[in-house]
Amino acid sequence: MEVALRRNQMGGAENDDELIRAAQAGDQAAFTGIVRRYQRSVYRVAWALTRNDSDADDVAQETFVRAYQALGRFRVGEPLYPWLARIATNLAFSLFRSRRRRPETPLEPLVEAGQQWGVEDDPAERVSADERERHLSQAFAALKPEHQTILALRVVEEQSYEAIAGTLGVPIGTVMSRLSRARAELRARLAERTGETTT
Amino acid sequence: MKHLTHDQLSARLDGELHGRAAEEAERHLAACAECREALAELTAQEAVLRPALTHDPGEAYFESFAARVEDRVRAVGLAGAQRRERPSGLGWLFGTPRGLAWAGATAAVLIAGAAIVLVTGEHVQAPHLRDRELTARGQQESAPATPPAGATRDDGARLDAMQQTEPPASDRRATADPGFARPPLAATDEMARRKEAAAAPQSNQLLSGGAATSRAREARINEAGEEVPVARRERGDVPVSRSAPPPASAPAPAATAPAAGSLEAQRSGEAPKTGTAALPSTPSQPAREGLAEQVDAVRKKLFAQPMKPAAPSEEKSLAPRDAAAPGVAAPERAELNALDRADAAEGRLCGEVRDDRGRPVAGAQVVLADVARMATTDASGAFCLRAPVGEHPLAVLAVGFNESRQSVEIGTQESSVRVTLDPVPVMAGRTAWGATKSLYRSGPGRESGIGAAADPFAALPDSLREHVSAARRLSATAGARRSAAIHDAAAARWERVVRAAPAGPTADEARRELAEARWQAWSGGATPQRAIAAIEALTAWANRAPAGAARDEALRRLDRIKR
Repeated sequence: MEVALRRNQMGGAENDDELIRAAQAGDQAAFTGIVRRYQRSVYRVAWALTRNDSDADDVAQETFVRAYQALGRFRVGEPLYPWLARIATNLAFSLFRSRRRRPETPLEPLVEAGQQWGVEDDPAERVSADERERHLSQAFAALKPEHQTILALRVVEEQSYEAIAGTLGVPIGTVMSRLSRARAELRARLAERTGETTT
Repeated sequence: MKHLTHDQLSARLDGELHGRAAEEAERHLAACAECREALAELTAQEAVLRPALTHDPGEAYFESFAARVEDRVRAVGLAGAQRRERPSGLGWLFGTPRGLAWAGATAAVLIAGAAIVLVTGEHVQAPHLRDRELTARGQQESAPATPPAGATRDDGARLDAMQQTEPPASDRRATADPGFARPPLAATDEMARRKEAAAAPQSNQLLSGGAATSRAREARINEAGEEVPVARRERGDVPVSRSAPPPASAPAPAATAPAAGSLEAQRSGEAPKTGTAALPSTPSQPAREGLAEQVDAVRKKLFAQPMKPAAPSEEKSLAPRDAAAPGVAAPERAELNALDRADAAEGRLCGEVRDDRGRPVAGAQVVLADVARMATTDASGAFCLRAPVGEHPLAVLAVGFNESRQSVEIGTQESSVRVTLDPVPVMAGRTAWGATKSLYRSGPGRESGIGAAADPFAALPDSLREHVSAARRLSATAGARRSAAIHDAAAARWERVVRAAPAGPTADEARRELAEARWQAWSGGATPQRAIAAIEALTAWANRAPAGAARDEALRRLDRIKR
């Protein structure tokens, strides 16, 4: 259901056009409508690229702020999602560039962390799953930005090659080869970290 | 036999091979074990990738998201407006669309500021980020006309450039400081007084009008089919809370009544009408994510419910023994969850904490963060706690040791656990710079000590420096108003700096600030959450601090909290 909704959202240009026009004319509520329509997608992309709550929140909010400022120049009729995704990915990478090398990542603060632990998980399972995820997260972070982006769009957003091509503004063939290279690079980085393959 | 290329495998994984290419690939796979294995490997990697890149922040996050974006947009727009034109007097305030927006936004920021008191976690983020934006945007010109939207790649590049542009330092100070770079709360104080003096009803209407409109709009969009149908909450309920308000085990001590009082006064004095004006008119309307509504809804719940009896005697209670007025106990989610489960069965968890050589660790803090229960180990390293049945994350904090985390299961019978702590590696030779700078000074405006006069944060990238300045301002405001909640806000900022700063003196200094802020927050209004956060922050800093007066002070503070 969720996937269908997402795909629908990509192609829901007709609905968007009205909202966009109204927002361009200054209708605050229309802009809010756009935000609500795309907030989850934008957040998903933001989180996939930053992999922590506060950065994802920052990038997601900032994406819409920038969109608001640039909305006047947006051509009604064009799909909104690729535009928003581009803003989000650019913001995420600017964020990285403006940071120094990250130190050893401190633990999540206790009081926040307490909220997120599930009750059903088997503790042993949980520990090894965390380890795996950490390796993956680090390996992913080591990928080239364009590989991170395309993997995020494919894996998290489940976009078709055609949709990704539209979002990135590249031919479909490029999408295919870039994804393939991204996955290969990820495997290589993972192997560096764990000294083994994923299987 | 020619195997499938990686491109082909990858496309096959995505189901994006079509027509003849697809048929050929299938035929090959049927016959080739090696390629099947390669595909399986790729599939497995993909399967673990998805959860690693996905995170659900919860419904409450999205319900309030649009409102936070709105606040941010307004703040940014106003920064631009303020720079461009400054007509004077109240004529500007109420006579122009911008002025009205400013008045409305001020009210919104006030409420946001007040809501820091009662709503924690994700909502604390909003004013922080906005503040950062205020200073960052202070010098950005409004976007010049550019080619039509088709050239979205230009947008990307331009946005990039904007992010990285470094305006000259002098420019920055001039524009950033006076107008908007002041903390939202201080700035809005002034505005609030002016506004109230003039025509409060007008701004109230503006705010409530705006709120009503966006509420109505949300309702329409929901019916028109939002991405995921949002379950409307019961009336009076707040997205953050699950059930009743915090138990009485977390009242503010009598000594903090003045702080609590001032906070109440601040909230009621400065935002009475706007707060109530923005409320739903009838109690039966579903609560929306607006901070104003949340503030009031939570307040109602806080003071409507009877208090629960005091915490069991086994654990060292964090709350002061003299249970005074409820004060402004922040209804943080953990507490509410705790109450949720309070009716469920509780069990006992006892155990021992030892170091890596098997020696008992006394005075260690054993914490179940999700239910905010804590206990301190005695001289033999032993402790006992009561907590609701179920699985909980257990953390153990002790100075001189790395924080230990694990999961424990509490049943109706007594369970036991043994925790081993790893000592923190001795930080010998932590730079001399760090040593001279670690004199315990609170508040901003530190004079240079002997030697290095530089601000420890001078070398940070701009985005982090924004957080640092914002955190400092928040700390100053919090100190001036004796507001625990504002210290919480400052601490959240410092936390971000700690996480992002490079290891070394900079991170240490940020940790010191964080510990200070957490301590002040706890001092201003003790709750189990604040206690846990303060203990964690103080321990983390003390573990890295060189021996000396500052570290001793930290240890004394830790003792006080644990008592």
